[in-house]
Amino acid sequence: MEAAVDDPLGAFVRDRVAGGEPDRVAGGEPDRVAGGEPDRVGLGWRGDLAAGIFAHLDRIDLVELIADDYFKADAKTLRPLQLLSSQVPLTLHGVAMGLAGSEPVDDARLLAMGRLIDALKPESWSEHLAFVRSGGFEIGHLAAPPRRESNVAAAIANIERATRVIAAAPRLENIATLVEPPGSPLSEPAWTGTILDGAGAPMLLDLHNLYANARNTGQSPEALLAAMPLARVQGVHLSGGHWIDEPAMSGRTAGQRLLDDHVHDVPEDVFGLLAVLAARVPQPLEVIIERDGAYPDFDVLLGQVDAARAALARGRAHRHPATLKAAA
Amino acid sequence: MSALLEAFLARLYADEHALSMFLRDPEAAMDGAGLVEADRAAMRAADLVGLRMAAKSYANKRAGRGKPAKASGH
Repeated sequence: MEAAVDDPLGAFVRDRVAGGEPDRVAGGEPDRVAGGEPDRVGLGWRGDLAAGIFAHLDRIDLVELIADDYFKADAKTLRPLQLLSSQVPLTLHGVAMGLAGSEPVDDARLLAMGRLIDALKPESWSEHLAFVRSGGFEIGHLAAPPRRESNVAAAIANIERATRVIAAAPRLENIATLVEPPGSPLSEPAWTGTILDGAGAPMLLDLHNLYANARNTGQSPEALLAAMPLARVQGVHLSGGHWIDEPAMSGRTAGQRLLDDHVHDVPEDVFGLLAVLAARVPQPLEVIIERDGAYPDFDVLLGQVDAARAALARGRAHRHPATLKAAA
Repeated sequence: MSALLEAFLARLYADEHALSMFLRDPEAAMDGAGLVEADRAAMRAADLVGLRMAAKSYANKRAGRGKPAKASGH
């Protein structure tokens, strides 16, 4: 009992092992073959959208919940979410573990995620390939670490530790960044693929993040998509953003960069990337529309859910021959 | 050493004064951060416009949540 107080994370893991529990969630290696599994499309859970989501569960295949918002939730707060989980597949999304940082992941965050997963029984969970704190400074959001071999091992160690505690690998999301991280000899796809392969983890591919990074670095979004470890993609995020002015600095003409802000509609180009993705991979995809504010009428969001389904259908109808062979 | 470069970047992203000092005098700002020469060279070659934009974006996020930049206990 005393050990549990001193080491709550260790006690949590020991209790699970002693109980012989199977994997809590359905993470792990991505399915290589569709096998008739359908693609699914849903929405991110936000308080402002709760009524609309509950009223339209017939048009929503799954719901994603920001886990960190409920790490300290009491039983009363969790009750409606448990009801939600009983009615629609749920996935939990963490935003502040900093799995791709050089510092070890905080025990308390892992424990909180594990307990929330026990309470809500989601199908999967996810986090970001990002660092959010270092050297005692909290950045306050997801930042891209230097993409180099020397931080790959730390990221893999963090992911493997999280996988052991949660008993399922997180889906790992690519982030949007307004700056290419200094000291990054590896490209984003190479760095991402090396970490995912090393950790044996699936990917949550945020197509607006990818689109923004491509546009901000003068790359083709389609080429950047093709270079990503697409065989590992299980989940997809779609969102919107807006162009912001670069600050004027000496000797440089000010331009604009695309900020991923989650308060604008998903652009057509991003639905196009979803169709390209669906044409390139055989595995089923779970797509979440993310909206964090400036909420439109719920019908508009449902329209975006339908647009995502249409993009998936377009892509599946034009699968590359190599993809069809892999799925056979 | 990724950890030291990460910590240096985290400070620039979290501390407006530190970013201003770096933009004004990068060498002085890097002195004492423990960066190896390769990391100092990486910071000299950094996209300064992007660093400013990223730092502003993070500041806006923190302001929206009312969180301090400095982690408690450090």
